[in-house]
Order: sequence, then structure tokens, then C-alpha cells
Amino acid sequence: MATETAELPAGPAVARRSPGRIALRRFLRHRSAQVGLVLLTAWVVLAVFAPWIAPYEPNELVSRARQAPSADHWLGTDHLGRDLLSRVIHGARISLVLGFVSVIFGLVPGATLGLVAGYAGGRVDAVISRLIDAMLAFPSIILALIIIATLGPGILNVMIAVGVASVPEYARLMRGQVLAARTQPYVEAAWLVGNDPARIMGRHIFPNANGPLIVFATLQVGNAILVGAGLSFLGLGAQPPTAEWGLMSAEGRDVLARAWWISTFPGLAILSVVVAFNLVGDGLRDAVDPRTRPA
Amino acid sequence: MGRYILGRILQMIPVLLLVSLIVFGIMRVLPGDPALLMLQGAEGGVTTPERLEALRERMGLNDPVVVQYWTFLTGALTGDLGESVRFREPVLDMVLDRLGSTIELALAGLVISVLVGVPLGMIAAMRRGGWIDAFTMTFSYLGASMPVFFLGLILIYVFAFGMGLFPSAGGTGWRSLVLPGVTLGLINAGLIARLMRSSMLEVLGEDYMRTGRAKGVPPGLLLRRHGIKNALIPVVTILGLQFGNMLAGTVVTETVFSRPGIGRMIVTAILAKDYPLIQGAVLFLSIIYVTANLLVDIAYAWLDPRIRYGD
Amino acid sequence: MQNKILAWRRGAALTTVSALALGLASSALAQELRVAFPASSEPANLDYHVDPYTPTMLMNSFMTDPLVVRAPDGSFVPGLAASWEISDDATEVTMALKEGVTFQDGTPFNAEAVLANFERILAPETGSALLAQEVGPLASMEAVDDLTVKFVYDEAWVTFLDMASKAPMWSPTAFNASTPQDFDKELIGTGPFKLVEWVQNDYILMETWDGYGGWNSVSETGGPAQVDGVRLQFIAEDAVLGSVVASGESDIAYQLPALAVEQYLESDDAELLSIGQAGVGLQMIFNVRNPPLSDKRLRQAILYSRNMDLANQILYNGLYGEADGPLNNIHPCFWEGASEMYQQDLDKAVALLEEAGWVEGPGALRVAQGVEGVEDGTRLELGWSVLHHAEIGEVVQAQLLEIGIGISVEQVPGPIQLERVNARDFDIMFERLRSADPKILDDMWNPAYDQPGGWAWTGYDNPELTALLEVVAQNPDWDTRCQAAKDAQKIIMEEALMVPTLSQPSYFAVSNKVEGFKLGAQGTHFFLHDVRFVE
Repeated sequence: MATETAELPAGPAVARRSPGRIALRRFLRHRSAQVGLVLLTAWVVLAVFAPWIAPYEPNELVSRARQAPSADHWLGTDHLGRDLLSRVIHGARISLVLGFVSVIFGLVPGATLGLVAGYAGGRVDAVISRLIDAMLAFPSIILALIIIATLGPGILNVMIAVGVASVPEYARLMRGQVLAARTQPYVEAAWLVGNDPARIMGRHIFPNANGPLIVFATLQVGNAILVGAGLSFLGLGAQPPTAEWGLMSAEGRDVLARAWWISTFPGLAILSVVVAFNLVGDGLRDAVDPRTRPA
Repeated sequence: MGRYILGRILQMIPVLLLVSLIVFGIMRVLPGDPALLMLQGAEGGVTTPERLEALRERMGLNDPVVVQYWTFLTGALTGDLGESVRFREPVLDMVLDRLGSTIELALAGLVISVLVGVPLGMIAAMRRGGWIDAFTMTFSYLGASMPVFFLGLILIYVFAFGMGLFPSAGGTGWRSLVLPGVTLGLINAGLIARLMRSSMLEVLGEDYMRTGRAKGVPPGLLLRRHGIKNALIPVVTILGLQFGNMLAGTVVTETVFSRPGIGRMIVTAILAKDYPLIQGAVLFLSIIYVTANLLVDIAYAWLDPRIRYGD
Repeated sequence: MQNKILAWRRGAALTTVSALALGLASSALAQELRVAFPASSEPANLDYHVDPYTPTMLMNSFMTDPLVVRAPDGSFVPGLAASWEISDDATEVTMALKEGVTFQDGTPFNAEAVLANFERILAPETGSALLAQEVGPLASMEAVDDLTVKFVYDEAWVTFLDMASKAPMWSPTAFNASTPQDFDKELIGTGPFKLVEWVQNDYILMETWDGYGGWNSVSETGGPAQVDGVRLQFIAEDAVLGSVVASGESDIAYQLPALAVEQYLESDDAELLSIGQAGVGLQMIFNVRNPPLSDKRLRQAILYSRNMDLANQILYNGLYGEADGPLNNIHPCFWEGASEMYQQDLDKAVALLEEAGWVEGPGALRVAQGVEGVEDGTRLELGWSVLHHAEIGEVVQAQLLEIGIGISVEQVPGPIQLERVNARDFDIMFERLRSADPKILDDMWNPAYDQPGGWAWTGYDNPELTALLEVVAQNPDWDTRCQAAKDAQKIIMEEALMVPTLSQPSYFAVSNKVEGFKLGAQGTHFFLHDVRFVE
């Protein structure tokens, strides 16, 4: 999924009056983005109020193992006899945090590197660019796996691994945006007037270059959740009894034919949240990039 | 053009050097003594400090780090990627043994994602806004948002255990390739479909298409002659990149379907702390990946004359 | 969804077989027996001389016979050795070899070949850690005549026959022409099947050897195998392994996951076989070197708070075996007192915890107050590291949490387990050895083996226990050894050095299309010598 960038426009979203607001309005009118937003809001609400909404403690053995969905346990019980609904609800916290934190771990260093490289140019740019190229030479899943190998399994390490593995993508994207923004008249004007470089970067370049970055980051949240689930499946991700959806889904796979709910509901939870992020991300893209108007 | 290609190839050299340094560096950071792991085998066993020391010496673990890196680098340049600690076999042989299976799977995934994604995207673009658009796009979102192992297991239960159409495990013959190929293909088809749709929409709005329509060229012909070809350009770019990603992205698929591929080998090597194997396999994969990206860039530059060569 | 899948499966089982045969025609033999193995059982090196891995020994036994065979009833019966004699002090073993045996390449099997095999096992270049150790402190070995070999030991070596039942005999011509690294791709033995190819991470294919003389006493046919060959298919996903026999993709599945067992209980198409694995159960060892686990009261409190019968019900519908002590309950030398010793008793556990200085804390976990070597206010949280069966840890985790003991369950791969063990910084670690011989107690509890690569991980040193273990290891008399083993178990339990959990039975699914499949004495072994397809 690292290739999302190729779809992005090459130039920044240039508009004379408050580009942000225009894009926002366009985004809010976007039909699939609306669907995504609603889904996402629902999950966020569930995550925030999980302890009040969930009928049971997520890690408590409350009943017989592998019970089919019933009035007592709407989604059934898992392989240990924990209430699946409660675990899915609590899992929203973990999986959403996993997604967002991974993105922050990638976005912050990546965007900084890209900004510096693009703005400073010359030797600094050359060094950073070669480093980015070298990191891009690893398929991102392999990079994540190597990082996990170094740090050991566990959910925090998954976030670091997935985040760091996406650093070069953000850096490359940001650098491209900055290079394009640097030649814009308003930046040159600010330069001529004698503004200090940090101010130019912060005030003029970054705000005009961050549209595609936000789009990519949004899509990346869903991607991080998926990669996290895959790592859990391989035994390298979250450790029990963490209510991470990927781990929950993986834990039930041995009994998929006889207790389908254990794997399926967490799987559907992942599906819905990732779809939501993709819808929102695509909506943002359409809003930021005037060339493809919303359907 | 020639200069552009040469330039790009020269650019690869420092990148690959850095890659080798990163790989080597990470392996040194990893905890654990490879010599001890080698002696203990799969179920442990009693070793003496003398045997351990002798093995460390033989494996070059007592040399200064710089010497170790130099050995690794010069070895890699002559095709010697070292020897697996656990399997006691040359890493290059192990990689080459499994490369075919992984390429097979990545290609199958690619073909299926194109066969599914391109028509979906086209139809959606041409019926933009209608229920067909909504349906195909929903499908593409679902495919791209499902955990790979979950999709794979569902396919196994339905098509292998349920209907008995294809085997659930193994890497021999085309039949064993179908389910993993479909898994990988469906996961990526969504991306292709969405890309194809937006690219198609863009092309449909281009002047030459409008002119063609105004001149009364039949829409089908117009589409075939100009529309599809132009809309495919960004898709082709992505495909090249996707292929590289798929080579590595087969990790989970290979595990679910018990295929003897590189991705799975790297995961087991990581779990077993088989340093030389991880090191060699990752370096090898990176070279392939970088080369694939280079080829894509060249193909793209060749396809699309608007690209400027060089910086 | 569930019912639909089952319905499909029944209807489709037959078509699968024919469809499969078509698809794999290129490299398949006409009537090959397909045996599914978990991918985790695939060896790194297919030669047991080199890789001391239990499944390696099993796979080798299809390609060659050992000198002595452990029969399904647990006794030793002739393999390539026709008879043997062990001196009363267990320092001399004399073996008479069978006549007329040849390896698959025509090399004659004789005393010289046996010596060559043992020399190879002991040679440092072979790099055999475990098997070389099991061969033991050999003072000399000689060929008395062409068909008689004699092994002489410095000290009593009571496990010789066990070792001889594991060590495969390979053709010296073949291994001398190869290297330890490559020979495992070209193994040549005396067994019913010849290695055709081993595609790593995929399968091992063997074809039937027409020259086989049925030298393994377990073989009733007394001649070549009755199938055309065997394919061992390695399956990476347990959910798949559980169903391959039901779906008709494999004829036999080895080590079925426990939760897959249910579907075979009432099946008409396949038979479910199970056998307990005598030895140590799914045992968790305490590291008693450091606080807080150096305090026996804490260890006992942990033992009093768990309920393994309940865990068995929850997790496996009660199908798992009991392992109440350092040996599991089906081991011939199991000490029965272990079963009563630590029945779940939360009041007792709480009392012990309070006494040891673990008081109720602000959260769910207890905290230290005057615990030696532990800072006051430290939360009671211990690591529980396993290679598999993390779910048992999860249930224990929930049970212990009720009285404020926290454990964090972590599933680690083998090499990481060994690394932690070598660093001696674990809290509670999975350790299991499987054997019907009580010598494994000596391996795991004798501080002499508390060294890198050794099996004694707990860090407990008590001369009384060590003396008992030495009897277990060296006394030639079985009953004396067994009694010493029981006394040793009593001490281990009193000192609460380990957490007994459950014992994993070995499950096999065997399709009704084949017959003649024989289970070995232990859950890790089976025989394919007489297997044939039902007409």
C-alpha cells in the first residue's frame, strides 16, 4: 500500500482564498467520505466510552468458552470464555490507537526530514535523499519485520515498526511538496523580505504542502491497523490478553468452522474501520486535488 | 534517455551500499549469540565453552565489526551471502530455491488484481455516480480492507475444504497457486480499481476525448483507441511498484497457504534469529526491489514523454 | 455458515481426491500416502545425527531403521540388531547384528558400518549436540566380528538402548561421499522408503524401496512397503492442518491441534487416534535465583491459585491429559502424591502472599511491602514465557489475577526461549522433555546441568535432591531408579520449583482409506511399514 503516493497530485493545492476551507467544504459534501466519517465517529464513540458500553470486562472469563452468539453474549464468547462483544468494543481503543500512533511515529520524523531536505537543498538534501532512497529500498513490510526482530514482539513495538517503516514515504512526499512550494511567488517574496527560514518553512511552506500528506496519513491509519493485524497473525504483534482485533481474529482461526464468530467479528471490525479510513482518505484526496471531483 | 538510465543506475550504487550497511547494522543490534544458537539446534543441547569459542572464531564473530562488514560486503558482491545458522546452507541457495515460488505467487496476484481491478475501475468510471459505481467501489474497498489471513482462511474453507476445488496447502503445480493468488489479487484489486477509476475519469474529461465525441466518433471506438490506453498509464506505473511490494507482501499469504516462499522464510529466520539468513535474504530482496523500481521509472519515462529526465 | 461448510465438505470429499491427483500429477507417485505435518515439525537438517529434533528422528525412521526399535508397547525389540546383551553394571553392551541387511545403495550393513555411524555422530565436524551427548562417555567400541559390535563405557550408561532406538544408521559409503551439510538431501539408509526430494517449507517425498527386507520387528509385512511412496506435507497453518484429513487432502495428519479434534470424533471417513506423551507435561519452571521468586511462599501461592481441571474444560473440552507434577500422570515413574498437593485453595494462597509481604495494592495487583530484595510498592507481576499453548497461560493469568498476582503471557520462538534461559533472567519459563525414561528428571533438575546449553534452568541446588537424581541417572535397576525419581518429584513439589499445567496428548487423524497405521509408544512416533490403501 506504500504506493498510494503515486496517485497524488504533484503540486500543492493552490487556491487564492483559504484553500483549507474550500477543501473542507468539498470534503464534507463527498458522499463516500460522509459514510466513512459516520463509521469512524461510531467507532471513536465506542472506543471512548468502552468501559460504560461494554457489558463485561474484556479480559474476564465470564462464561463457557466458544459459545455461539446469544442474548447474554451478543457476539458469543471467545476461546477462553470471554465476552466477544466487550472485547471488540474495547479493541476499538487498541486498534485505533495502534493506527494513529503508528502514523504519528511515521509522519513526524518523515515530514521533518522531507521539509528540511526540500528546503535546505544542496548537500543536506543529497544526504537525506540518499537515506530516504535506501530506506525505500526495503519493502515496508520487511522493514517493519526487521524492526520487530530488533525490538521484540508487542503492540508498542508494532506501532514503532509500522511507523518507522513509513518514514521514507512521508519524507519523499513532503520533500516533493516543498520543492514545488519553494518556487511559488509568495515564498520567494517572503524570502526577499528577509523572513527567517524556520518561519518561512512553518508559515508558508508547510501549510501549503501538507494537503497530500494528510491524505496519505489518513489512508495510512487503516493500513497500519491491517499491518498490525498481520503481525499478530504471525505471532509478532500484540500479545495476549490484549484485545487487539488482529490478535482476536487470529486466535479464533483454529475453530473457524465450528466457532466462526471468534474470528469473524473482530475481522469485520477491522474491515469496517479500515474501509472508513480509506473512504475518508479518498474523500480528502478528492477535496484537496481539484482534478478529480467527487462522485 | 540513455543518459537518464545510466544516471539512475549510478544512483543505485550509494543506495545499495547504504542498504547493506543498514542490514548489517541491524543484525549487529539484534540480541543473541548466533554461535550459541547454532550449537543448540532446535531443541537445545549441551555445549562446552571451548566448542562455542571455536565456532565463534570460525564464523568470524570475533573479528572487529568493520572487518565483519567488509567480509559481508565483499562476499555479497561475489554472490556469497553467507551461510544460514540454522540450516547450515548457503543463503543464496536458500533464497534462490524459494524465489521461484514467491515470484509465481506475486505474478499470480498481480494478474488477478489487474483482471479484477481494471474492468471494475473502468465500469465504475463510465457509470459514474450510479449504483454500479457504488457497488464496484464498495467491493474494491472491502477487498483492500480485509486482513489477508482472514480472507485466505475463508477461501480455504469455502474452496478447498468446502468444495474441494483447490488444495489448501503446498507449492506444487498451478492448482495450488489459485487460492493464494486470488487472496493476494483481491487484496490489491481494490487499489487498482480505484486508481483505474480516477484515471479514467480524468481521461474522459480531456480535450481530445471531448473533441472526439463532438466529431461524432463512436464512444466505444473512442474509448478503445484513446481512453483506455491513456488511463492505463498510471495503472502500469503502480503495477511495477506493486510487484515489488507483492514480492515482500506475500509473507502472510505464504504462511496461510504453506507455500515455500521467501517472505515466509524471512519470518521464520527472524523468529529463529538466523542472522546470516535474514541479512542475506533482505539484501537480496532489496536489490530486486530497487531494480524493479528502476525498471518502472524507465518504463514510465518511456511511456510518458511529459516526464523530465534527471533532477 | 458453519453448517453449510460442513455439508459442502461431506459432498466434496471424494471429488477432492481425484481433482488433487490430476493437479499434482507432475511430481506425484501413483499411490502415494499423504501425511500432513505441522510446519513447526520440519527440521532444519533432515539428519538426526546433526539435528537432534524429535520429528527428525521420526522422519528418519521411514528411511532407515535403528539398531533397536521401541515397539508400540514401549519395550525394545530388534531393529538392525538381532539381539543384545548388557552387563550387570551397565557399562558394556554387546550387539549381534542381523544378517543380509544392505543399505539402499547396496552397501552391506555390518559391524564396520555401525562403528562408522557412531564415529560420525561423535565427530566434531558433524556438530551433533544432543545425540552425541546421548551416546555418552564411550570408552571404546569395537567390531568383535563382522556382525558383532561391543560398546564399553567408563561409568554405568543406563540409557543406551533408548539412544540406540533413536540413532539412525546411514550408509557409510553415502555419507563419506558427502558432507554433514549436504547429506540430509541424499540420505541413504536401510528403511522401507528412499528419499526422492525434500523441498524445504513444502514437502518431503519418498518412494518405496523394493529391496527392503522388513528388518524392523514392528513390520508385519516383512518386506517392502505396500504403497508406492510417502509424501510428508508441511502445513504452516494449524486451522488448515486440523481439517486436511476431513477434506480428503491428506490420508494422515500428525499432531492435530486440540480444537480440531472434535470434527473427527463422529466422523465416518476418518479415525481419531490419540496417545499420551509420557514425560514432562506442559511444565512451567520457576527461576528461583532472584527475588521475588526466590521466596518459596510466593511460588506455593501461585500453585494454590490455579485450577488446571477447569482450564482443561475451558480450553480443550477436557481432552488434554493431566500433568500434576514434574512428570506427567501417565509416566511410569509419576509420583501420585503430586495430585493432592496443590489443590486450588485461594485462602491458603492469600495467606502465603500476605506472609511473604505481598499486600493488596491500589490496583488489581498486589504490591510489595517488606519483601526482601524488592522495593516497596513494586507490583507483583511475573513473566510467563511459552513456545506454544499460550492459551493455558491466559487462563492461569485470569485465575491468578483473582488474588492479585499478575503474570504477563508471552509466546516466544525457541531460540529466544534459549536465549532468555542462557541469560537466566526469566521468571516462569516453559520447559518440556518427552521420554518414558525418568532420566529427564536428572537433565532438568540436577544443578550439574545448570550451564549454557544445559537443561537445568531453575537455579535450585539441594544435595539431597541431587543425590536422588544421580540414582535416577545411573542405577542399573529400573525399580530403584523409579523410586528415586518419585522421591525427587516429592522434593520438587514441596519446594514448588515448577508450575504443573496439563499434558498434551498427541492426536492423529487417519483416513479410513488406509489401514496398517501403527502408533509408537510415545506420541511422537509412528510406523508406516505396513500401511496400505484399502481396496
